[in-house]
Amino acid sequence: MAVDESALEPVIIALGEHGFRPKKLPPAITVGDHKFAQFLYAPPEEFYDVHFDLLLAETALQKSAITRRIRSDVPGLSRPIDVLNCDDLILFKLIAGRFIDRADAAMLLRDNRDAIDFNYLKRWIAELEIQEVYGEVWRDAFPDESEPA
Amino acid sequence: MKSQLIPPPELAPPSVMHLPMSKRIALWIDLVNTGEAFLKAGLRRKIGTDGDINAAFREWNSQQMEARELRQIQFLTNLSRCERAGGR
Repeated sequence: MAVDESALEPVIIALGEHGFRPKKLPPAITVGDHKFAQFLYAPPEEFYDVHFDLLLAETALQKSAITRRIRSDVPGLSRPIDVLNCDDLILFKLIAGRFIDRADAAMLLRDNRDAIDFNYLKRWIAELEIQEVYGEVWRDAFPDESEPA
Repeated sequence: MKSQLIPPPELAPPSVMHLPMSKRIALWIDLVNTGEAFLKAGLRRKIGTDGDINAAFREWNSQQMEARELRQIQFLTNLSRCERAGGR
């Protein structure tokens, strides 16, 4: 979410008007250099809450990901939605680092190879010092190939 | 050692990248619905035929939400560490 904490209040009010409610008060939770807010929403005619998180994009990588977002038309929805560029999704998967995230990153690399901006990807991998996990993922995606220079 | 995370290309399931977006989303919805059916079947087996399946689902969902919060915290902890390593 492309707002900082100072602009969170209007977002909470707007969400509240549509039935969303903060999971905790105050809603913003700080973790390291980052903040996120958690919300609950009971869809109409459902019997349970859906939980979702809004991450405040306040650091360079997050702001870059917001800038590079891709607007997508989704069948069945009346308006387009913005989704992460595949390059940024791979970076966030590498950072998350669980087995399932690394497997996701490997499959994203394999299935989207022709569309990936490897200059961008490699620059951030170096910045974030995640070369080791990227190397592991690359070897799984392309077992018989070296990483592109 | 090769392919510890995903199947090697020769054994991988067929890619869906050639399909139109609407078909990919339809497949995803089908996968989610199938997963939900498995989940509810498992919950039903656990609570028995007279158990409250909605209550069991809410309990399961609540546990998943707590686990999700921990994953989010772990992700942001990792992100902070990586960004600090890069001097950002």
